[in-house]
Amino acid sequence: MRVPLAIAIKDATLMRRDMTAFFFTVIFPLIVGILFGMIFAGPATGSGPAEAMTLGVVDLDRSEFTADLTSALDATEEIEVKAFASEAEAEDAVRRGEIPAAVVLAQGMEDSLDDVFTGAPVKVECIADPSRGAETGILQGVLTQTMFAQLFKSIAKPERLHTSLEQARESLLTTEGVNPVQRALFDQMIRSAEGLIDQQIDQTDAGTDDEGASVGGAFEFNPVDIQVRKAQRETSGAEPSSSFEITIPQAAGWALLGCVTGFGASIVRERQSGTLDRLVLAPVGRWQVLAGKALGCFLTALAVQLLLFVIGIAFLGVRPDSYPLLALAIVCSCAGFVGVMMVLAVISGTSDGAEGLTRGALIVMAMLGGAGIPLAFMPGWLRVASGASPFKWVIVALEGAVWRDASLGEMLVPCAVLLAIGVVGVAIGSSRMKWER
Amino acid sequence: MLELTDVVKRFGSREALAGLTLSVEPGEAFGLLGPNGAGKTTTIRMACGLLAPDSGRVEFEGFGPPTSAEVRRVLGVAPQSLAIYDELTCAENLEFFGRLFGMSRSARRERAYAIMERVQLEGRARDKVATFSGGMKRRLNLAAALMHEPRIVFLDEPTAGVDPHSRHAILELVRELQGEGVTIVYTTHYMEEAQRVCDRVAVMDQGCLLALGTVDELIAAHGGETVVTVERGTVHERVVTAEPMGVLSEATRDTSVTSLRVERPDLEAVFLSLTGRSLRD
Ligand SMILES: Nc1ncnc2c1ncn2[C@@H]1O[C@H](COP(=O)(O)OP(=O)(O)OP(=O)(O)O)[C@@H](O)[C@H]1O
Ligand SMILES: [Mg+2]
Repeated sequence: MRVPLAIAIKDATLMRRDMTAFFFTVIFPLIVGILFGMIFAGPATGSGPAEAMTLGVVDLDRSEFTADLTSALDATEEIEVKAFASEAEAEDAVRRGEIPAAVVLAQGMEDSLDDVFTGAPVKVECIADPSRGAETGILQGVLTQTMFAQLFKSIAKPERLHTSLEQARESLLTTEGVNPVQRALFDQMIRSAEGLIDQQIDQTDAGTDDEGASVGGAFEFNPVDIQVRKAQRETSGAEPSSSFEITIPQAAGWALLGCVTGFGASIVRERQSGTLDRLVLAPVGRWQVLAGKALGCFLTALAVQLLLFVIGIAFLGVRPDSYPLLALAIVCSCAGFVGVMMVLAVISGTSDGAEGLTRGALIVMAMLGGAGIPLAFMPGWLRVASGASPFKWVIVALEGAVWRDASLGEMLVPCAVLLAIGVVGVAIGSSRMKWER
Repeated sequence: MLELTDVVKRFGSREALAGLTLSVEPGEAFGLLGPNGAGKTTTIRMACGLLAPDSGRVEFEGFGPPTSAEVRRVLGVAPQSLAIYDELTCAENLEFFGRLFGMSRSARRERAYAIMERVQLEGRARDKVATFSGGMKRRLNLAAALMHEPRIVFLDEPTAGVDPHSRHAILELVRELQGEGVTIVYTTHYMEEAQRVCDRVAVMDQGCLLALGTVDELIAAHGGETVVTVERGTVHERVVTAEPMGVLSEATRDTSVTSLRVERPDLEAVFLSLTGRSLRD
């Protein structure tokens, strides 16, 4: 182990001092991880601002009023309604990040409209994702406006109005401590109100939502009471809690690319300069030389991955679901790419053109494997095709441990594929290695 | 010490070595002299086990073929190409190669500085090799071969592309090594170097051994006689003679002689007479 370690340390030193290799192994991945993470963290996450936002609706009342309200909400430009059967279902959807908010139209809502004039506002419960403040803000605004209009339309129905006023008169008659003169006066007011409202119905029936709202405003009372309840997003769900949880695994992929091309090229360079002869001439087996190269590549890859994840966890809000599984994924990724490096060194040794070609192929594989476009955004056929890229398995393994909440069993597939790539690559590398110039 | 028997090496259809047989005695400085493409480097690579011969045998006395770890331990090679790491410092290079030979930290540090002093690089120990001149790199390339105190050293054109100062330092070092009892195999196409440092010289061309012996033996056998050039003003007279002293004593008494040149036939003349070509064209 002494000689491989000496070679590994020497190679890591050379890598650190080689500006190009250092850039592609450390700097570029950091740029990908941090810069792209910041870009994606902007307004581009979730549904775009121009698109309709989905509002969950739980209609427990199943009344004419709630049905009207639901279709009125759906009819707005800003909102698209998604119906949920129960409050729990809607809350789950908010937690999973599928919808930014949901409203619960409680049982007895329609009946409660009759109390609007006696000062009891219609209560609506809203479940919102606090991390999507802007979206829920807009939703609440639209909800208030629509409810107000619907409310007015609904209570403006003659029969309902008369019932309301009748109720008011009844409570007036039964309330104690009101003298007969006052009673007569209020009775008279209610009667004239009835007449007034009858007139208004004719005008507002043709009115739009906006006018409804403005008419509502003229009443100078607030008949809608939206109570917002926060539903904390589950960060350990199958959703990344921040865009960095996507870009840091991608950065790890690019770091591996830089690392293997750097080490692959270093073997070619050693062969050309003759230093490989010196290694071979030392009283050590050739396998020790190869082990040194492999170890150097492995340790460098490991160091860069650790750097990326430490930065991600310390400063960028990356919260791995499982640290042991993340460690497993990192180790398997590094081991797998030692195999890729070995194959690269063998192919690159055949001719100058082969080196450029394999590097190009690796970049395409990295893009295809999800280091460029996140796997989640790929069409299905492309995601299947990307299985041929070792980068895909790195991303799958890392994402599984970071945010996909993968079980040990689910992690076995990508990890086994990576280890197999490592074993096959090292086997090809050591049997096909060209030692002579 | 080292024995090559009927060694043949082909690269594709080209025969780089066509049945080479020679032996290197312990403690001697053995020269391989030949023009470009003669097969000197191929011979060295074969001798130290970097290339396997297509046929024939390479053996180190008492050790067997050069691929064994015991041979590797006593064998030092300064390849023709600069086999050192540009991005490491001078000291880092030497210490790394020492580490490959299992030297302890203190031993390799001590040895690295001792050897840097011998090749006059001690002042540049902490500088990256990338900042070195060609001659300095050559000297480091040689130093790297000596880190583990080998008993036999292969020097493949150790003076290629260096200035007279570096060349002198390198040749001095080779002489010192020789004095320490180190066996040296030295390739060059500079006959004056071969003449200066080598006890015996093998003259090679196109993969074949043309002649082998001490410098004097080779000249005596193939170099011809002494050449004396006598100049009287613009008149040159060349006298080829086995008795140059007679011609000289006569000429020094002649007052009309303006210049006298005595030329000893050298390895160049040997090569010329063996191949009909000059060593460097
Ligand atoms: N790896 C190789 N592949 C193909 N041909 C080779 C190889 N190495 C050497 N040769 C050929 O073998 C012959 C001898 O080459 P070699 O390098 O041994 O010559 P040399 O005496 O060292 O020359 P120089 O003075 O230029 O270093 C040359 O014709 C060369 O083209
Ligand atoms: Mg040569």
